[in-house]
Amino acid sequence: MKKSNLLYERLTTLASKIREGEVSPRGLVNALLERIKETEDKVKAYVTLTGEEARRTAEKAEKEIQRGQYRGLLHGIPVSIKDLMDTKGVKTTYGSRIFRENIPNEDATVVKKLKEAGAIMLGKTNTHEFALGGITPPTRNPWGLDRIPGGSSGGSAAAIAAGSALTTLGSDTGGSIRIPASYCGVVGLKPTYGLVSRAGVFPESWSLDHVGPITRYVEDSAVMLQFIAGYDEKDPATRKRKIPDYVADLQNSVEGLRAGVPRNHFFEHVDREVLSAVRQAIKVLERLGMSIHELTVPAIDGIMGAYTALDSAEVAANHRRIYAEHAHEYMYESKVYIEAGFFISATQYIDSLRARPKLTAQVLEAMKDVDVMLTPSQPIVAPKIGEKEAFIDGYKEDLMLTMVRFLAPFNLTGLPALSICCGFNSDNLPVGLQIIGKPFQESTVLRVGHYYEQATEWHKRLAKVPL
Amino acid sequence: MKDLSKELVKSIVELLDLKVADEKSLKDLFGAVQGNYSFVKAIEDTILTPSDDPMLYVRYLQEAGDRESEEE
Repeated sequence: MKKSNLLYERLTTLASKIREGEVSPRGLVNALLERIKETEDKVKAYVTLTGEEARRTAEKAEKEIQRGQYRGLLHGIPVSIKDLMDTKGVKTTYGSRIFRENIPNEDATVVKKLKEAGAIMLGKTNTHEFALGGITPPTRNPWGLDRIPGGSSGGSAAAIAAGSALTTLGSDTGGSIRIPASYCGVVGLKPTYGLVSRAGVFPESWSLDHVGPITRYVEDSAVMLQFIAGYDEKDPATRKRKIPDYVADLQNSVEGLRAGVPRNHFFEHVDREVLSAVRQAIKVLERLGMSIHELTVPAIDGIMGAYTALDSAEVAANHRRIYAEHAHEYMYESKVYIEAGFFISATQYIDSLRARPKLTAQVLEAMKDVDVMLTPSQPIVAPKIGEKEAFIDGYKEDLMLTMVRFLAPFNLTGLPALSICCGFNSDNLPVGLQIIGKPFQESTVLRVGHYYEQATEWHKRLAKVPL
Repeated sequence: MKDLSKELVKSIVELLDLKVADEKSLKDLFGAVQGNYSFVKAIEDTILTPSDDPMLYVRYLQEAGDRESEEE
Protein backbone atom coordinates (compact mmCIF):
# COMPACT_ATOMS: atom_id res chain seq x y z
CA MET A 1 0.00 0.00 0.00
CA LYS A 2 1.24 3.50 -0.85
CA LYS A 3 2.11 5.74 2.07
CA SER A 4 -0.52 8.30 1.05
CA ASN A 5 -3.31 5.68 1.11
CA LEU A 6 -2.47 4.93 4.71
CA LEU A 7 -3.65 8.41 5.62
CA TYR A 8 -7.23 7.45 4.71
CA GLU A 9 -7.32 4.13 6.58
CA ARG A 10 -9.45 3.43 9.64
CA LEU A 11 -7.64 3.62 12.97
CA THR A 12 -8.47 -0.03 13.73
CA THR A 13 -6.89 -1.09 10.40
CA LEU A 14 -3.79 1.00 11.05
CA ALA A 15 -3.58 -0.30 14.61
CA SER A 16 -3.66 -3.86 13.38
CA LYS A 17 -0.94 -3.16 10.78
CA ILE A 18 1.19 -1.40 13.39
CA ARG A 19 0.85 -4.28 15.80
CA GLU A 20 1.81 -6.76 13.09
CA GLY A 21 4.77 -4.62 12.05
CA GLU A 22 3.36 -4.00 8.54
CA VAL A 23 3.18 -0.26 9.14
CA SER A 24 5.62 1.71 11.25
CA PRO A 25 4.57 4.68 13.38
CA ARG A 26 7.59 6.56 11.99
CA GLY A 27 6.37 5.88 8.46
CA LEU A 28 2.95 7.21 9.41
CA VAL A 29 4.40 10.35 10.97
CA ASN A 30 6.57 10.96 7.90
CA ALA A 31 3.66 10.39 5.51
CA LEU A 32 1.56 12.89 7.45
CA LEU A 33 4.33 15.47 7.54
CA GLU A 34 4.70 15.08 3.77
CA ARG A 35 0.97 15.55 3.31
CA ILE A 36 1.04 18.59 5.57
CA LYS A 37 3.82 20.04 3.42
CA GLU A 38 1.62 19.55 0.32
CA THR A 39 -1.53 21.05 1.76
CA GLU A 40 -0.67 23.45 4.54
CA ASP A 41 0.02 26.59 2.54
CA LYS A 42 -3.53 26.36 1.21
CA VAL A 43 -5.48 24.87 4.11
CA LYS A 44 -3.60 26.31 7.10
CA ALA A 45 -5.00 23.73 9.49
CA TYR A 46 -2.06 23.80 11.88
CA VAL A 47 -0.70 26.53 14.11
CA THR A 48 2.19 24.44 15.50
CA LEU A 49 3.84 21.26 14.21
CA THR A 50 5.80 18.94 16.49
CA GLY A 51 7.38 16.82 13.75
CA GLU A 52 10.72 16.10 15.38
CA GLU A 53 9.20 15.18 18.72
CA ALA A 54 6.63 13.06 16.86
CA ARG A 55 9.42 11.15 15.08
CA ARG A 56 11.15 10.49 18.39
CA THR A 57 7.92 9.32 20.05
CA ALA A 58 7.17 7.14 17.02
CA GLU A 59 10.55 5.47 17.29
CA LYS A 60 9.94 4.83 20.97
CA ALA A 61 6.49 3.39 20.20
CA GLU A 62 7.98 1.08 17.57
CA LYS A 63 10.49 -0.29 20.05
CA GLU A 64 7.81 -0.82 22.70
CA ILE A 65 5.60 -2.67 20.26
CA GLN A 66 8.51 -4.80 19.04
CA ARG A 67 9.19 -5.71 22.67
CA GLY A 68 5.58 -6.85 23.01
CA GLN A 69 4.52 -3.86 25.10
CA TYR A 70 1.56 -3.00 22.88
CA ARG A 71 -0.77 -0.58 24.67
CA GLY A 72 -3.86 -0.70 22.46
CA LEU A 73 -5.52 0.78 19.40
CA LEU A 74 -3.89 4.23 19.63
CA HIS A 75 -0.35 3.00 20.21
CA GLY A 76 1.81 4.51 17.47
CA ILE A 77 -1.08 6.53 15.96
CA PRO A 78 -0.39 10.24 15.30
CA VAL A 79 -3.03 12.62 16.69
CA SER A 80 -3.56 16.34 16.16
CA ILE A 81 -4.81 18.50 19.02
CA LYS A 82 -6.94 21.64 18.95
CA ASP A 83 -4.83 24.56 20.13
CA LEU A 84 -7.33 25.32 22.88
CA MET A 85 -5.91 22.36 24.82
CA ASP A 86 -2.79 22.57 26.96
CA THR A 87 0.17 20.54 25.75
CA LYS A 88 3.15 20.20 28.05
CA GLY A 89 6.22 21.95 26.66
CA VAL A 90 4.47 22.79 23.38
CA LYS A 91 3.20 26.25 22.50
CA THR A 92 -0.52 26.60 23.16
CA THR A 93 -2.02 29.87 21.95
CA TYR A 94 -5.79 29.32 22.43
CA GLY A 95 -6.00 31.03 19.03
CA SER A 96 -5.03 34.34 20.64
CA ARG A 97 -2.15 36.74 20.08
CA ILE A 98 -2.10 37.27 23.84
CA PHE A 99 -0.92 33.68 24.40
CA ARG A 100 1.42 33.53 21.39
CA GLU A 101 4.36 32.51 23.64
CA ASN A 102 2.41 30.39 26.13
CA ILE A 103 4.03 27.04 26.92
CA PRO A 104 2.02 25.01 29.46
CA ASN A 105 3.68 22.92 32.14
CA GLU A 106 1.03 20.23 32.00
CA ASP A 107 -1.03 18.40 29.43
CA ALA A 108 -4.80 18.75 29.37
CA THR A 109 -6.29 15.54 30.78
CA VAL A 110 -7.47 14.37 27.35
CA VAL A 111 -4.00 14.93 25.87
CA LYS A 112 -2.44 13.05 28.78
CA LYS A 113 -4.84 10.16 28.25
CA LEU A 114 -4.01 9.96 24.55
CA LYS A 115 -0.29 9.98 25.29
CA GLU A 116 -0.72 7.26 27.91
CA ALA A 117 -2.53 5.22 25.25
CA GLY A 118 0.60 5.51 23.10
CA ALA A 119 -0.67 8.14 20.67
CA ILE A 120 1.87 10.48 19.06
CA MET A 121 1.17 14.21 19.06
CA LEU A 122 1.77 15.56 15.56
CA GLY A 123 0.80 19.19 16.12
CA LYS A 124 -1.73 21.77 17.24
CA THR A 125 -4.65 22.68 15.00
CA ASN A 126 -6.07 26.14 14.53
CA THR A 127 -8.97 27.32 16.64
CA HIS A 128 -11.08 30.45 16.42
CA GLU A 129 -9.74 32.95 18.97
CA PHE A 130 -10.54 31.51 22.43
CA ALA A 131 -13.17 29.38 20.62
CA LEU A 132 -15.39 32.47 20.47
CA GLY A 133 -16.57 32.03 16.89
CA GLY A 134 -17.23 29.68 14.01
CA ILE A 135 -14.86 31.00 11.35
CA THR A 136 -11.36 29.81 12.44
CA PRO A 137 -9.14 32.19 10.52
CA PRO A 138 -6.80 31.59 8.76
CA THR A 139 -7.89 27.98 8.10
CA ARG A 140 -9.66 27.27 4.82
CA ASN A 141 -12.08 24.56 3.88
CA PRO A 142 -10.44 21.77 1.84
CA TRP A 143 -13.69 21.35 -0.16
CA GLY A 144 -13.53 24.95 -1.31
CA LEU A 145 -10.58 27.11 -0.40
CA ASP A 146 -12.73 30.24 -0.62
CA ARG A 147 -14.93 28.83 2.15
CA ILE A 148 -14.59 28.73 5.94
CA PRO A 149 -14.02 25.37 7.62
CA GLY A 150 -16.41 26.33 10.43
CA GLY A 151 -15.31 26.52 14.01
CA SER A 152 -14.16 26.88 16.49
CA SER A 153 -12.41 23.50 15.92
CA GLY A 154 -11.91 24.40 12.26
CA GLY A 155 -8.25 23.35 12.08
CA SER A 156 -9.01 19.84 13.31
CA ALA A 157 -11.84 19.26 10.84
CA ALA A 158 -9.94 20.81 7.93
CA ALA A 159 -6.89 18.65 8.68
CA ILE A 160 -8.99 15.48 8.56
CA ALA A 161 -10.66 16.57 5.30
CA ALA A 162 -7.29 17.45 3.75
CA GLY A 163 -5.73 14.14 4.79
CA SER A 164 -3.19 15.98 6.92
CA ALA A 165 -4.38 14.39 10.18
CA LEU A 166 -5.49 10.85 11.02
CA THR A 167 -7.51 11.77 14.07
CA THR A 168 -8.02 14.92 16.12
CA LEU A 169 -9.58 16.44 19.19
CA GLY A 170 -11.98 19.38 19.26
CA SER A 171 -14.16 21.17 21.77
CA ASP A 172 -17.79 22.22 21.53
CA THR A 173 -19.68 24.90 23.49
CA GLY A 174 -22.42 25.74 20.97
CA GLY A 175 -21.43 23.48 18.09
CA SER A 176 -17.67 23.95 17.73
CA ILE A 177 -17.06 20.26 16.93
CA ARG A 178 -20.18 19.70 14.82
CA ILE A 179 -20.10 22.93 12.77
CA PRO A 180 -16.67 22.23 11.23
CA ALA A 181 -17.42 18.51 10.99
CA SER A 182 -20.48 19.38 8.91
CA TYR A 183 -18.76 21.98 6.70
CA CYS A 184 -15.68 19.78 6.12
CA GLY A 185 -17.60 16.52 5.56
CA VAL A 186 -16.05 14.63 8.47
CA VAL A 187 -17.23 13.08 11.74
CA GLY A 188 -17.55 15.11 14.94
CA LEU A 189 -18.81 13.83 18.29
CA LYS A 190 -19.90 16.03 21.18
CA PRO A 191 -20.25 13.54 24.04
CA THR A 192 -22.63 13.86 27.00
CA TYR A 193 -21.74 16.65 29.43
CA GLY A 194 -19.59 15.03 32.10
CA LEU A 195 -18.29 12.08 30.06
CA VAL A 196 -14.99 13.64 28.90
CA SER A 197 -12.76 15.88 31.02
CA ARG A 198 -12.26 19.55 30.06
CA ALA A 199 -9.38 20.05 32.52
CA GLY A 200 -6.57 21.92 30.78
CA VAL A 201 -8.81 23.13 27.97
CA PHE A 202 -9.21 26.92 27.92
CA PRO A 203 -12.84 27.43 28.96
CA GLU A 204 -15.41 29.30 26.92
CA SER A 205 -18.36 28.54 29.17
CA TRP A 206 -17.92 26.06 32.03
CA SER A 207 -21.50 24.86 31.99
CA LEU A 208 -21.63 24.30 28.22
CA ASP A 209 -18.10 23.20 27.22
CA HIS A 210 -17.54 19.67 25.93
CA VAL A 211 -14.48 17.90 24.48
CA GLY A 212 -14.70 15.25 21.78
CA PRO A 213 -13.11 13.73 18.68
CA ILE A 214 -13.17 14.91 15.06
CA THR A 215 -12.30 12.03 12.75
CA ARG A 216 -12.70 10.61 9.24
CA TYR A 217 -14.83 7.62 10.23
CA VAL A 218 -17.44 7.07 12.94
CA GLU A 219 -15.48 4.06 14.11
CA ASP A 220 -12.46 6.32 14.64
CA SER A 221 -14.55 8.54 16.91
CA ALA A 222 -15.53 5.44 18.90
CA VAL A 223 -11.84 4.54 19.26
CA MET A 224 -10.95 8.05 20.42
CA LEU A 225 -13.85 8.21 22.88
CA GLN A 226 -12.76 4.89 24.36
CA PHE A 227 -9.50 6.46 25.46
CA ILE A 228 -10.62 9.95 26.50
CA ALA A 229 -13.87 9.18 28.36
CA GLY A 230 -14.02 8.84 32.11
CA TYR A 231 -13.91 10.50 35.48
CA ASP A 232 -11.25 13.13 36.17
CA GLU A 233 -10.86 14.69 39.58
CA LYS A 234 -9.63 17.86 37.87
CA ASP A 235 -12.98 18.36 36.11
CA PRO A 236 -15.87 18.62 38.59
CA ALA A 237 -18.41 17.96 35.84
CA THR A 238 -17.10 14.45 35.07
CA ARG A 239 -19.07 11.55 36.47
CA LYS A 240 -17.96 8.19 37.79
CA ARG A 241 -19.51 5.79 35.30
CA LYS A 242 -18.61 2.49 33.72
CA ILE A 243 -17.25 3.19 30.24
CA PRO A 244 -18.77 0.86 27.65
CA ASP A 245 -16.79 -0.76 24.83
CA TYR A 246 -17.74 1.81 22.20
CA VAL A 247 -15.88 0.03 19.38
CA ALA A 248 -17.39 -3.39 20.07
CA ASP A 249 -20.86 -1.84 20.46
CA LEU A 250 -20.71 -0.63 16.84
CA GLN A 251 -21.37 -4.21 15.75
CA ASN A 252 -24.83 -4.30 17.36
CA SER A 253 -27.59 -3.92 14.80
CA VAL A 254 -29.62 -0.75 14.34
CA GLU A 255 -32.64 -2.80 13.32
CA GLY A 256 -35.56 -1.92 15.54
CA LEU A 257 -34.05 1.30 16.81
CA ARG A 258 -36.45 4.24 16.83
CA ALA A 259 -35.48 7.62 15.43
CA GLY A 260 -37.34 10.84 16.12
CA VAL A 261 -37.48 13.54 13.48
CA PRO A 262 -38.51 16.94 14.87
CA ARG A 263 -41.37 18.60 13.05
CA ASN A 264 -40.40 22.00 14.50
CA HIS A 265 -37.31 24.25 14.58
CA PHE A 266 -34.74 21.80 13.19
CA PHE A 267 -36.20 21.67 9.71
CA GLU A 268 -37.09 25.37 9.45
CA HIS A 269 -35.06 27.76 7.30
CA VAL A 270 -32.89 25.03 5.86
CA ASP A 271 -31.25 25.22 2.43
CA ARG A 272 -33.14 23.04 -0.08
CA GLU A 273 -30.17 20.88 -1.04
CA VAL A 274 -29.27 20.35 2.62
CA LEU A 275 -32.86 19.41 3.40
CA SER A 276 -32.96 16.96 0.52
CA ALA A 277 -29.71 15.25 1.59
CA VAL A 278 -30.91 14.93 5.20
CA ARG A 279 -34.30 13.53 4.13
CA GLN A 280 -32.49 10.99 1.96
CA ALA A 281 -30.28 10.03 4.90
CA ILE A 282 -33.34 9.41 7.05
CA LYS A 283 -34.70 7.10 4.34
CA VAL A 284 -31.41 5.19 4.33
CA LEU A 285 -31.70 4.62 8.07
CA GLU A 286 -35.29 3.50 7.60
CA ARG A 287 -34.12 0.98 5.00
CA LEU A 288 -31.60 -0.28 7.54
CA GLY A 289 -34.47 -1.24 9.83
CA MET A 290 -34.93 1.83 11.99
CA SER A 291 -38.42 3.19 12.49
CA ILE A 292 -38.97 6.91 12.00
CA HIS A 293 -41.30 8.92 14.22
CA GLU A 294 -42.19 12.59 14.09
CA LEU A 295 -41.89 14.50 17.34
CA THR A 296 -41.88 18.05 18.64
CA VAL A 297 -38.94 19.40 20.59
CA PRO A 298 -40.50 21.64 23.25
CA ALA A 299 -39.36 24.97 24.66
CA ILE A 300 -36.81 25.73 21.94
CA ASP A 301 -37.09 29.46 22.69
CA GLY A 302 -36.37 28.84 26.36
CA ILE A 303 -33.47 26.56 25.48
CA MET A 304 -31.88 29.12 23.18
CA GLY A 305 -32.52 31.84 25.78
CA ALA A 306 -30.87 29.91 28.59
CA TYR A 307 -28.00 28.93 26.31
CA THR A 308 -27.43 32.56 25.33
CA ALA A 309 -27.48 33.81 28.92
CA LEU A 310 -25.13 31.11 30.20
CA ASP A 311 -22.68 31.37 27.33
CA SER A 312 -22.57 35.18 27.20
CA ALA A 313 -22.24 35.71 30.94
CA GLU A 314 -19.64 32.96 31.44
CA VAL A 315 -17.56 34.22 28.51
CA ALA A 316 -17.57 37.72 30.01
CA ALA A 317 -16.70 36.46 33.50
CA ASN A 318 -13.94 34.21 32.18
CA HIS A 319 -12.30 36.91 30.08
CA ARG A 320 -12.83 39.85 32.44
CA ARG A 321 -9.30 40.01 33.78
CA ILE A 322 -7.43 39.19 30.58
CA TYR A 323 -9.67 41.53 28.62
CA ALA A 324 -9.07 44.42 31.00
CA GLU A 325 -5.36 44.32 30.18
CA HIS A 326 -5.30 43.04 26.61
CA ALA A 327 -8.48 44.28 24.94
CA HIS A 328 -6.46 45.70 22.05
CA GLU A 329 -5.13 42.22 21.24
CA TYR A 330 -8.57 40.62 20.79
CA MET A 331 -10.30 40.29 17.44
CA TYR A 332 -13.00 42.93 17.04
CA GLU A 333 -15.83 40.35 16.98
CA SER A 334 -14.52 38.76 20.20
CA LYS A 335 -14.54 42.15 21.91
CA VAL A 336 -18.20 42.70 21.05
CA TYR A 337 -19.02 39.11 22.10
CA ILE A 338 -17.32 39.52 25.48
CA GLU A 339 -18.70 42.98 26.21
CA ALA A 340 -22.26 41.93 25.37
CA GLY A 341 -21.89 39.28 28.09
CA PHE A 342 -21.55 41.98 30.75
CA PHE A 343 -25.16 42.95 30.05
CA ILE A 344 -26.63 39.62 31.13
CA SER A 345 -28.13 40.21 34.56
CA ALA A 346 -27.39 37.96 37.54
CA THR A 347 -31.03 36.92 37.78
CA GLN A 348 -31.16 36.03 34.07
CA TYR A 349 -28.05 33.92 34.52
CA ILE A 350 -29.29 32.14 37.63
CA ASP A 351 -32.75 31.56 36.19
CA SER A 352 -31.07 30.01 33.13
CA LEU A 353 -29.23 27.58 35.39
CA ARG A 354 -32.46 26.83 37.24
CA ALA A 355 -34.42 26.37 34.03
CA ARG A 356 -31.84 24.02 32.59
CA PRO A 357 -32.96 20.78 34.32
CA LYS A 358 -36.58 21.52 33.41
CA LEU A 359 -35.76 22.20 29.79
CA THR A 360 -33.63 19.05 29.64
CA ALA A 361 -36.47 17.04 31.17
CA GLN A 362 -38.85 18.37 28.54
CA VAL A 363 -36.52 17.36 25.71
CA LEU A 364 -36.03 13.90 27.21
CA GLU A 365 -39.79 13.54 27.62
CA ALA A 366 -40.17 14.36 23.92
CA MET A 367 -37.56 11.66 23.19
CA LYS A 368 -39.02 9.03 25.54
CA ASP A 369 -40.32 6.79 22.74
CA VAL A 370 -37.25 7.04 20.52
CA ASP A 371 -33.59 6.07 20.82
CA VAL A 372 -32.12 8.92 18.80
CA MET A 373 -33.20 12.12 17.12
CA LEU A 374 -32.15 13.13 13.59
CA THR A 375 -31.68 16.69 12.34
CA PRO A 376 -29.52 18.57 9.86
CA SER A 377 -26.20 19.53 11.50
CA GLN A 378 -26.27 22.89 9.73
CA PRO A 379 -29.00 24.70 7.79
CA ILE A 380 -26.45 25.49 5.06
CA VAL A 381 -23.18 24.30 3.52
CA ALA A 382 -19.87 26.02 4.31
CA PRO A 383 -20.22 29.79 3.75
CA LYS A 384 -17.71 31.82 1.79
CA ILE A 385 -14.96 33.58 3.72
CA GLY A 386 -16.12 37.05 4.75
CA GLU A 387 -19.85 36.29 4.81
CA LYS A 388 -21.54 37.53 7.95
CA GLU A 389 -25.10 36.58 7.15
CA ALA A 390 -26.80 33.49 5.75
CA PHE A 391 -29.45 33.77 3.04
CA ILE A 392 -31.73 30.75 2.92
CA ASP A 393 -34.47 30.94 0.32
CA GLY A 394 -35.10 34.62 1.01
CA TYR A 395 -34.62 34.29 4.77
CA LYS A 396 -31.73 36.36 6.13
CA GLU A 397 -30.00 35.53 9.40
CA ASP A 398 -26.85 36.38 11.35
CA LEU A 399 -24.32 33.67 10.40
CA MET A 400 -23.38 32.90 13.99
CA LEU A 401 -27.00 32.15 14.81
CA THR A 402 -27.29 30.01 11.68
CA MET A 403 -24.34 27.97 12.84
CA VAL A 404 -25.52 27.31 16.40
CA ARG A 405 -29.29 27.08 16.23
CA PHE A 406 -29.51 23.29 15.58
CA LEU A 407 -26.55 22.45 17.83
CA ALA A 408 -26.54 24.65 20.94
CA PRO A 409 -29.74 23.03 22.32
CA PHE A 410 -27.63 19.90 22.98
CA ASN A 411 -24.94 21.88 24.77
CA LEU A 412 -27.58 23.23 27.12
CA THR A 413 -29.23 19.84 27.61
CA GLY A 414 -25.88 18.03 27.59
CA LEU A 415 -27.10 15.26 25.28
CA PRO A 416 -24.59 13.43 23.05
CA ALA A 417 -24.67 14.55 19.42
CA LEU A 418 -22.77 13.32 16.38
CA SER A 419 -22.35 15.03 13.01
CA ILE A 420 -21.62 12.85 9.98
CA CYS A 421 -21.50 13.58 6.27
CA CYS A 422 -24.74 12.67 4.51
CA GLY A 423 -24.17 14.06 1.04
CA PHE A 424 -22.89 16.91 -1.08
CA ASN A 425 -24.63 19.83 -2.73
CA SER A 426 -24.33 20.71 -6.41
CA ASP A 427 -21.09 22.65 -5.68
CA ASN A 428 -19.54 19.50 -4.14
CA LEU A 429 -19.78 20.93 -0.62
CA PRO A 430 -20.56 18.52 2.25
CA VAL A 431 -23.85 18.32 4.13
CA GLY A 432 -24.05 17.14 7.75
CA LEU A 433 -26.58 14.93 9.54
CA GLN A 434 -26.86 15.30 13.31
CA ILE A 435 -27.69 12.23 15.42
CA ILE A 436 -28.66 13.06 19.00
CA GLY A 437 -28.91 10.50 21.79
CA LYS A 438 -29.96 10.24 25.42
CA PRO A 439 -27.52 10.97 28.27
CA PHE A 440 -24.42 8.73 28.14
CA GLN A 441 -25.84 6.72 25.23
CA GLU A 442 -22.89 7.45 22.92
CA SER A 443 -22.84 3.78 21.89
CA THR A 444 -26.28 4.11 20.29
CA VAL A 445 -25.44 7.42 18.58
CA LEU A 446 -22.17 6.04 17.19
CA ARG A 447 -23.85 2.82 16.07
CA VAL A 448 -26.46 4.69 14.05
CA GLY A 449 -23.74 6.83 12.46
CA HIS A 450 -21.58 3.79 11.75
CA TYR A 451 -24.38 1.85 10.06
CA TYR A 452 -25.29 4.86 7.95
CA GLU A 453 -21.66 5.28 6.94
CA GLN A 454 -21.39 1.60 5.98
CA ALA A 455 -24.52 1.85 3.86
CA THR A 456 -23.38 4.92 1.91
CA GLU A 457 -20.35 6.10 -0.01
CA TRP A 458 -20.04 9.75 1.09
CA HIS A 459 -17.10 9.11 3.40
CA LYS A 460 -15.13 7.75 0.45
CA ARG A 461 -15.22 11.08 -1.40
CA LEU A 462 -11.96 12.94 -0.80
CA ALA A 463 -11.27 16.66 -0.94
CA LYS A 464 -8.83 17.39 -3.74
CA VAL A 465 -6.15 19.51 -2.11
CA PRO A 466 -3.94 20.97 -3.50
CA LEU A 467 -6.25 22.11 -6.31
CA MET B 1 -35.48 44.65 29.91
CA LYS B 2 -38.08 46.66 28.04
CA ASP B 3 -36.25 49.97 28.18
CA LEU B 4 -32.96 48.83 26.72
CA SER B 5 -31.63 51.79 24.78
CA LYS B 6 -28.40 52.79 23.16
CA GLU B 7 -27.98 55.46 25.86
CA LEU B 8 -28.36 52.87 28.62
CA VAL B 9 -25.79 50.61 26.93
CA LYS B 10 -23.46 53.58 26.63
CA SER B 11 -23.82 54.43 30.31
CA ILE B 12 -23.17 50.80 31.34
CA VAL B 13 -20.10 50.76 29.10
CA GLU B 14 -18.81 53.77 31.03
CA LEU B 15 -19.83 52.34 34.39
CA LEU B 16 -18.02 49.03 33.75
CA ASP B 17 -15.09 50.72 32.06
CA LEU B 18 -15.52 48.56 28.96
CA LYS B 19 -13.26 49.07 25.99
CA VAL B 20 -15.58 50.00 23.16
CA ALA B 21 -14.53 53.45 22.11
CA ASP B 22 -16.16 54.60 18.94
CA GLU B 23 -19.65 54.89 17.49
CA LYS B 24 -19.31 51.77 15.34
CA SER B 25 -18.28 49.64 18.33
CA LEU B 26 -21.14 51.02 20.39
CA LYS B 27 -23.59 50.33 17.59
CA ASP B 28 -22.34 46.75 17.19
CA LEU B 29 -22.38 46.21 20.95
CA PHE B 30 -25.92 47.54 21.18
CA GLY B 31 -26.89 45.16 18.36
CA ALA B 32 -25.25 42.21 20.15
CA VAL B 33 -26.90 43.07 23.49
CA GLN B 34 -30.27 43.45 21.79
CA GLY B 35 -29.72 40.15 19.98
CA ASN B 36 -28.93 38.39 23.27
CA TYR B 37 -31.97 39.89 24.97
CA SER B 38 -34.26 38.77 22.17
CA PHE B 39 -33.34 35.20 23.16
CA VAL B 40 -32.84 35.57 26.89
CA LYS B 41 -36.32 36.96 27.55
CA ALA B 42 -37.74 33.51 26.67
CA ILE B 43 -36.36 32.16 29.97
CA GLU B 44 -39.26 33.93 31.67
CA ASP B 45 -41.60 31.39 30.04
CA THR B 46 -40.10 28.57 32.11
CA ILE B 47 -42.10 28.31 35.32
CA LEU B 48 -39.64 28.20 38.20
CA THR B 49 -40.30 27.51 41.89
CA PRO B 50 -37.99 27.91 44.92
CA SER B 51 -37.12 24.21 44.70
CA ASP B 52 -35.58 24.69 41.26
CA ASP B 53 -31.98 24.53 42.41
CA PRO B 54 -29.44 25.18 39.64
CA MET B 55 -27.21 22.42 41.03
CA LEU B 56 -29.79 19.78 40.11
CA TYR B 57 -28.62 19.68 36.50
CA VAL B 58 -25.62 17.35 36.70
CA ARG B 59 -27.38 14.96 39.06
CA TYR B 60 -30.38 14.94 36.76
CA LEU B 61 -28.26 14.08 33.72
CA GLN B 62 -26.51 11.28 35.62
CA GLU B 63 -29.79 9.76 36.75
CA ALA B 64 -31.30 9.95 33.28
CA GLY B 65 -28.19 8.18 31.94
CA ASP B 66 -28.45 5.47 34.60
CA ARG B 67 -32.08 4.79 33.69
CA GLU B 68 -31.19 4.42 30.01
CA SER B 69 -28.30 2.07 30.80
CA GLU B 70 -30.54 -0.13 32.95
CA GLU B 71 -33.14 -0.31 30.19
CA GLU B 72 -30.47 -1.47 27.74
